[in-house]
Amino acid sequence: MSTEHLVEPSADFPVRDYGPPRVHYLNWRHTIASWLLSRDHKRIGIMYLVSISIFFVVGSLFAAIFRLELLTPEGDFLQADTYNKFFTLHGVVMIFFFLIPSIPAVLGNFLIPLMIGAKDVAFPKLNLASWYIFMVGGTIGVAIILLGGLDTGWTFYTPLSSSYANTHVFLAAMLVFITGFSSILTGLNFLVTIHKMRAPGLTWFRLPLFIWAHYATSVIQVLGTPVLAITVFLVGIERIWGVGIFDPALGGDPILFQHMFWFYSHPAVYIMILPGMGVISEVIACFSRNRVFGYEFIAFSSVAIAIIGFLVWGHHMYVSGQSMYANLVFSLLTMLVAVPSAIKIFNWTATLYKGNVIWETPMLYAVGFIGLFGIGGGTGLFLGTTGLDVPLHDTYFVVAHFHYVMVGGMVMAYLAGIHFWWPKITGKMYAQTPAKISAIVVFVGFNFTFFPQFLAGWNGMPRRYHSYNADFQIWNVLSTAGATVLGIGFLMPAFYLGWSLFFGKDAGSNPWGARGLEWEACTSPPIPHNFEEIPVVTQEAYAYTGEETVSV
Amino acid sequence: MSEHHIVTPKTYLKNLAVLMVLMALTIIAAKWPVLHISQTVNLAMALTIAVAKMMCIILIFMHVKFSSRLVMVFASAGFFWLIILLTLTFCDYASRFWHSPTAVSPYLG
Repeated sequence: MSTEHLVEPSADFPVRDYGPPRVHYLNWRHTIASWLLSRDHKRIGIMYLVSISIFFVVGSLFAAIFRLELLTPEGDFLQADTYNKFFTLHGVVMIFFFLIPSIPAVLGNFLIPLMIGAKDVAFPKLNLASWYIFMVGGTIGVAIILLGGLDTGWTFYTPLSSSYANTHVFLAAMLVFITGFSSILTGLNFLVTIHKMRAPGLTWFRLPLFIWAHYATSVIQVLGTPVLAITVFLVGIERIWGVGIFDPALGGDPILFQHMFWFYSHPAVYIMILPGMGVISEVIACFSRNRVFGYEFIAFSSVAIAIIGFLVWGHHMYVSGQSMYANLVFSLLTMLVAVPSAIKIFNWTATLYKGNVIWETPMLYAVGFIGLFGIGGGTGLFLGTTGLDVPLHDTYFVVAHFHYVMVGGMVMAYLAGIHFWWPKITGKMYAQTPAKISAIVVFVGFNFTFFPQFLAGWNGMPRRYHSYNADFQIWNVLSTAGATVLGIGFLMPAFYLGWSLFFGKDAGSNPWGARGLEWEACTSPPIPHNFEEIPVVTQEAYAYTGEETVSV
Repeated sequence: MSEHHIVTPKTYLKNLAVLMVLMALTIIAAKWPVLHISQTVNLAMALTIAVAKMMCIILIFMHVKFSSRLVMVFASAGFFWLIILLTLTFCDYASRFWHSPTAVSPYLG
């Protein structure tokens, strides 16, 4: 192993490998109250991990049910209105309770203080409050499901949501409003933590790219989410008191809803994917044993995505009645936002070049991410052009595109991150062979599920219908079969990661031979306050020499 | 440190008085027929008073005036983002009827 360290070796930080500590954050208190009232960012991260995993299972079950319906062209399993509820609930649960909170709330909460050499986040009580607010939103979500569901689509378009839908739109508006504050407070906490609590010597350009990605994400959360909260609040006002805001019959404008909704909801896509990009930067650097190529470019591309991402929302509205001139402006801006994303893809690939690439499980997911996000991003450009979007709008091409970005991109990155930091989080190492098989099954199952949807959409199959033209059946059978494989791939980690908790061998503080404070100055699992003494950082991030060894 | 700046009750009371005066101005501008010059002028008047009230609240009650530059940057960023929302949304409304040379935008009169 190299003798160079991110942290200056001293009596306090002798060199790695610290053995597992006698008292760590998982065992220092055992009561339920010690978890539910914990202000420890690591425990809060674990509580988010458990919560969002449950929501992920629920959201996946909704998808499994409507994929079964789509096996045949006739609506023979679900009625039209039930089908509408299932795809709506799938979208709402997955977006608000899995995709948005997953990496920031789980990995971000757990890792940001560790990575910057802090003992906790800036506002630990606020952090705990964020989780409770999230759970209040989740409880409303469960109530909506039990009371009969929601059928507006996760987009809540007016006038359907404000005037016509007879389902629980008001509760859903409350859910979005409340859950949004969880996201805002998490973002606020991260911004202050990153600004104010970095260890001595940890300058902005020594920060891991995971931190840069979370910084950019937090800016979007803080500045974008309030607009969504206001928008759903206005829908509620119109629905209950008949105040004319979006309903033309009352003097409102339904397209105004789309402007306000997408002003948040397009940047929300970057809330979902930017932290994933941060994970990929860490994993690619570690498993190619290489300094990240163009560190500054990747760091600033995160900030550029956060800003330019706010200028492109109109590309969701080309066929809504928005002016053709606005369409042109939004289309041009959409081409711009692709540039920073492409910079990241090129730089990760360049990092692999002449690296000492090691094919451990997190790396398999990371490489899968690059390919699938590349396809998802590329097809986004198809949809960003004003002409081509017209025939493709509201077809399965759009469904396939955003699942390539959200599942192929974000979920792959999340799984890469979970597999990468699992030894740090739990102190235990999982079995490598089933983990690698799972990564391959997820990759194959994912493509098997969603690539046929590109073809169905390209040939004109509209989204959000429970019955369809028989010509499209082949693509739907393939997609449902693929979803089965994907489901198996997603279930596998539950078994081998769960197994590792009880029977896995001790991971050691740095099993991957990785760089970074969380690996080099911290035990696995970390002690309650992370560090015995705040470390002093003397090097830039990713100072890999190629000589580090993996010990799994 | 600027974060520990203590604002005296007197400052708050002065600020409250200014806000009350501005509220009175809002009502006068809305209700007094003499000031009903045109829709555009009245809108400008109402918005000017609203911006003045907003600045009193943000700068004094929310302590931005006494905070670090970093806090000022973040407070300003919120307005920058609001300008993005309004500008691009109104671009749509302003140009929605351009492609029809005979039509007039109902939004712009």
